[in-house]
Amino acid sequence: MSRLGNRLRTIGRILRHFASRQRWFLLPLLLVLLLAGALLIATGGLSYVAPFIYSIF
Amino acid sequence: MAAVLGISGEYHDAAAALVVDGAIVAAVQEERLSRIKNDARLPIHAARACLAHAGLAAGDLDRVVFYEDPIEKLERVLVSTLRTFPRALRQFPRALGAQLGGKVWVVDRIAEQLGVARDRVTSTQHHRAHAASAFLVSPYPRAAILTVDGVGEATSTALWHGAGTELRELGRIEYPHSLGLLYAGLTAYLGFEVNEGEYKVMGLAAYGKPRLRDEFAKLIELRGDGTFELDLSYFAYLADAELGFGPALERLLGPRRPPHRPWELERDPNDRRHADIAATLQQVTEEALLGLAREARRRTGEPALCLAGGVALNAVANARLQRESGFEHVFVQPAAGDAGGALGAAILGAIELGDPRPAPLASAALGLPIDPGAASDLAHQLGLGVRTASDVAGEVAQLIGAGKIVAFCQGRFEWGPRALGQRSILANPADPDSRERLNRAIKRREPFRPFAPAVLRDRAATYFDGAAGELTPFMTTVCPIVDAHRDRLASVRHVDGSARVQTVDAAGAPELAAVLAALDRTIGLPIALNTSFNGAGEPIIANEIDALGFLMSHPIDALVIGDLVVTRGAA
Repeated sequence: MSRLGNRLRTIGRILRHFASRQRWFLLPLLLVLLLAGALLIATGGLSYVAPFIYSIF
Repeated sequence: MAAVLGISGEYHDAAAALVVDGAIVAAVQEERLSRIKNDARLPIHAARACLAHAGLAAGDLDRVVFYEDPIEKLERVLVSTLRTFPRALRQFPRALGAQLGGKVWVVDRIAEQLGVARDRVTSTQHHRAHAASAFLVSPYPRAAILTVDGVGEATSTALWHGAGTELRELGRIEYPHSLGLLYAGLTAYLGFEVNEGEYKVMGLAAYGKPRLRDEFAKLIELRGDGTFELDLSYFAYLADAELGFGPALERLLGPRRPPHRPWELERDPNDRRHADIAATLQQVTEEALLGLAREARRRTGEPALCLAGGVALNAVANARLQRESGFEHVFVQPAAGDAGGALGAAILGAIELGDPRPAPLASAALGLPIDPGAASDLAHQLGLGVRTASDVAGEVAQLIGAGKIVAFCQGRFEWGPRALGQRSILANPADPDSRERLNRAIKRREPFRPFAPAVLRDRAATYFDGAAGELTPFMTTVCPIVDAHRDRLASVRHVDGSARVQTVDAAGAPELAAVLAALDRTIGLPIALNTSFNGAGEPIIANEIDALGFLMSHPIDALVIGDLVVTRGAA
């Protein structure tokens, strides 16, 4: 339960950050990310890490 | 008065550092404990080791600080994805994985894995952590600070003014314009591993001529105010996580070098071309850093400069900064790369909680100690020769003088990528056979990579020009070898006549200082060839188990742990 609480708190921080920084136009992309990310995590498709990951890290 | 843990990781060089009541108690890279080179995973082993060393439990921590802001980083990723649409479309699934599979939850995960209350875990900014890691452990009350790396959240380069415990940002250059990524992209082009092979490019550069300045002028524009801009059409890192450079770079500079092909600098014109590219890259990087440093001097008026970020590990560039930037003092702490961010984050957290700035860093021995008693027990069980030396420094010097290769372990292991006498392999710097055997049988380095000398600080000026500054104790600069000693010190001399000198005194590394003094009596030189105690591609040795395993699997002649001398045969 505390783990879920931590995640919800972080999601709240993310949403506040994008609202406060006038980055609202990024919200649709963020929501797609969140949804697709949940799918990826559910399907266990994440393990490979490439060397030039600056653009995604 | 507070106990604060700093954490870096999730990209490369994960580390933990612990500051208690304003004093640096321990700083450990995860790779030393996990035995995975450049281990990037959250450094939970390192964090627990720091706490155990201090006799603390996770619940005793007043704060844990992660070295960068994961949400600002997420914002940069989103903006970058939009900017490069549709080219970055292929990367999108991986971006999702990287961010949502772990990065954005990093603060939660630290709290959960360490067992610390979530409200005690915070984050700072990547370049602020770098700046803190350099300035706040330097000997200067005030200084200009440059942080230069691949990229933090969105910043690749930042200029700061440090005064007391305050850090004020004066300017920044944002991703994707980055000296670190320029160097990394060319490192990949030259066939080396990114985030590991950059120092090989630096070594290779001395074998080439910087004859490709016109081509490099197309890659990067260096401006009079110290800023720079890359021509992104030559680079692929915005849209390709595998490769840092694009086809346009190969059209400009010629075909890339295949990885792992043996180097033939004498015979192969392509290898000579690649060495010229490395030389030009090195020269351009140095000039970019000089431009930044001169601007830092102009804007702050301070006489001292602190550097951090992966680019600050470029010892050749640091030497030019010391000579030509106009600063009287230059300081680079030993873990200037991302690992160092953990130390900066911990210090920032401690200062925020009211603790004073730490004392200047006098020694890199911030890791975990080695246990000669446990080593003795284990060595006996393994049937190795074990004896206790009454004059360990004298015995080590005798062995080295006789052409032997000695692994030398004392006290706590080093913070950062350099072996500085805590976990070193030592050999005779005046004996080419020792060097040849060391490289052939143990280190297996490319032929263009030099070995480094450790010299007694108060004797350094006899052998090296301009030695014994603030950089030399941590081996973060190079110095020319004095002409009269060039031939004798050939084993630690690079092709350009320089050496990456470590100056040693009894305050920083007392056991190594004693060996150098004994070597002066034995071979007439207060100098040892000093290389890191690890095999090719391995992290540096941490404890007695690693050390004895190394002795049994590599042809070193003796292993010294404290005052214990261990050999493969009978004692």
